[in-house]
Amino acid sequence: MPRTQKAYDSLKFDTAKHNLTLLPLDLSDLKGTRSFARLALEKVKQDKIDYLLLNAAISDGSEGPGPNGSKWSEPYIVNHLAQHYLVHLLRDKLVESKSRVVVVSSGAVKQVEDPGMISPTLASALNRKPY
Amino acid sequence: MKAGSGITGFNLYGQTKFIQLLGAHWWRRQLAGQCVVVAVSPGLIPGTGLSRGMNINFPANMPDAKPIPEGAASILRAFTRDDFPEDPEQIFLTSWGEWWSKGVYAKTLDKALQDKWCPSKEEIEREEGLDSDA
Repeated sequence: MPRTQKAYDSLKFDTAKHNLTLLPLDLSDLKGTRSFARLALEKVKQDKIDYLLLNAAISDGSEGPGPNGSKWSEPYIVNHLAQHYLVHLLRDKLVESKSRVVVVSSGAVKQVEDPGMISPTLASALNRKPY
Repeated sequence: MKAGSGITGFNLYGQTKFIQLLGAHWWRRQLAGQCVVVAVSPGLIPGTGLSRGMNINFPANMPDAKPIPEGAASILRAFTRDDFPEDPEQIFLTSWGEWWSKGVYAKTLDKALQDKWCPSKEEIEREEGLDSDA
């Protein structure tokens, strides 16, 4: 948050014209994601959510333990599950607002040749070296 | 996808982005007629910190690499473009501003696969041990 606040301050955004609020969101934390959604909805109140931009991603491996005891790896939670959960949490407001949801994707989706290989039961067998 | 499964960052990134795109299609179907869902690629953009987990740094002069402002402009285009293709499944805007042909991401159009990787809110909360009312 302090880093984001600093970056925002350096923009010298004209708050006389538009309101801008920064809210913390750590997508590796699903509980925190829910708190963020609640806070965002409180802040928006009767106004609309015109756009939802899902931009965050990490490129770590799955060597470490899942965050907060999850069976899922952190990249899976950050790059998909928490974003998917967030849309669920905001769904009513998004529909009411006729929002546009922008999902930042990647040409890397083409790397997956056999979607069956990403099944969670097979995940542990996948240990190919990338280079 | 599982924690501790030992998949390296480069492979896992492509897989998670594949699943995320399954999710974009899934939400496009759920929210049809109510919201617009657009997927967009900013292109290969060194310097954003995305590759920090791979312990490699993509040099800015790599072929196909684009500077950060150009990547940002690609993403911004997804906010304003309204020349949607007739085919509702064609939701992917490339970094060069074309609606990508479905053949490129055909495997993500499998509805059963989309359903598999898009659990309900209740399923997520149950699986991840989040109290439904907390």
